[in-house]
Amino acid sequence: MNIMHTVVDERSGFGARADKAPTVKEEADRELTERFSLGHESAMRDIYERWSGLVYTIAMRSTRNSADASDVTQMVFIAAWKGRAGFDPNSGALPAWLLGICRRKIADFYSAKVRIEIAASATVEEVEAQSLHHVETDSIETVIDRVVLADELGRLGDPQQKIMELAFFNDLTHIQIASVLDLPLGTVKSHIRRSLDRLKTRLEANSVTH
Amino acid sequence: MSHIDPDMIALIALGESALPRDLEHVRNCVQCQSEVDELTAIATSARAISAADRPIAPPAQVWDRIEAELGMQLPVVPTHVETKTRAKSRGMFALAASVGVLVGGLGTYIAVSTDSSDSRATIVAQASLDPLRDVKEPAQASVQQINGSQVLNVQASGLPATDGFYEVWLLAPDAVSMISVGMLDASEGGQFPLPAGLDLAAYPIVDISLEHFDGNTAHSSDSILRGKLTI
Repeated sequence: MNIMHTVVDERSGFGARADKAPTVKEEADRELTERFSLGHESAMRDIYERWSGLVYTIAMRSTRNSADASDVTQMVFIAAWKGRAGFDPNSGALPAWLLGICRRKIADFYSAKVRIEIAASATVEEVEAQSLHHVETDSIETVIDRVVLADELGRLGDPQQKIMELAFFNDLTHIQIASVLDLPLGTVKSHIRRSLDRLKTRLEANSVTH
Repeated sequence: MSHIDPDMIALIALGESALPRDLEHVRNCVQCQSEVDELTAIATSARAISAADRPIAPPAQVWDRIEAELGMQLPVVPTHVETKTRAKSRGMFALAASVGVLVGGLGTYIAVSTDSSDSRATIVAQASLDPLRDVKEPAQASVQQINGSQVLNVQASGLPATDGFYEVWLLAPDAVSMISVGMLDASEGGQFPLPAGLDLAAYPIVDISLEHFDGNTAHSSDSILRGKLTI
């Protein structure tokens, strides 16, 4: 269940910030993407440092097992490096491409797991019971959305991160937030709008598939 | 038609109260309504974030394993005649590379393989194979380095009699890629020379399957014993 829509609006997303220069982080991501697609080996380590937490946590939330999540993470980055010729920096962001590989590796993990269960189970009923158990877990898209949002939330910087956490997790109104953080009302309001836009842009970037 | 303030749209999406005329506008304006819907979806997702959704770094060994595996793609280091002492220290390097400490494992591995003067057998990996069905006792597997070649030893007893046969496989961690290493004698176990250049780190799982004489060379999906090599 992906929550993305395709509605384009000039007031949302990067469009709203078109008058601003790219942030230091955006510039660093762009430079890293370029080195990776050119096959610089140092880029592999940097990409791992930047995105392995995201991939591992998604795998961990999906497989619920640290050893399996480690295996999936290893396979994702190895497939990324070996398949880097298939990455087109012009057609989407590197993290979206990595998450595409991550989706496939998690799907592979489950189909292999089902095969192993079939091999290991004495009866067909047991396999069916285990398959039903899988259905109860969150869909991979829901997991990805949440982990990506948690990641971006942690990158908002303060006071934006604090403001959004109070709004999301403590259900405070913008007036209460302004009072708690001792910030002008207008500042809180515009931080909320820009932060929501930024979270939305990040999710949209991740929903691009290659 | 003048739209309502973008900041107000965000507040409505978060569920804050708004002026009746603003809410009325949103209801009648496709553009504002779709913006509210999009941001509401973001807020709903974000509010479902739990502590376990916050990214944490994978264990350090994951990078070590990636480095070791990708090291295999690097150009092979040219081998040359070496003294025995030197070859032994290279052997240590090969072992280190196989557990993911060094890049370039293939090069150092070949240096060891071509040195036939060292006849010591060293265990480089071992595994306990857990029963998946029909078998009560776990089996043991080990990989020895003998005269520069790797040999897989499988010690299994108590495998049930079958009108088929047992086959030994090395599986990749995804359990999709695999290599058949031979037929296993159910009463005695067996020794299986491994192909030179095989990267055990890429195929670390020893699997024993029950096969039937059906002419199908693929894995039957009927695994009896399985365990991961500790390298």
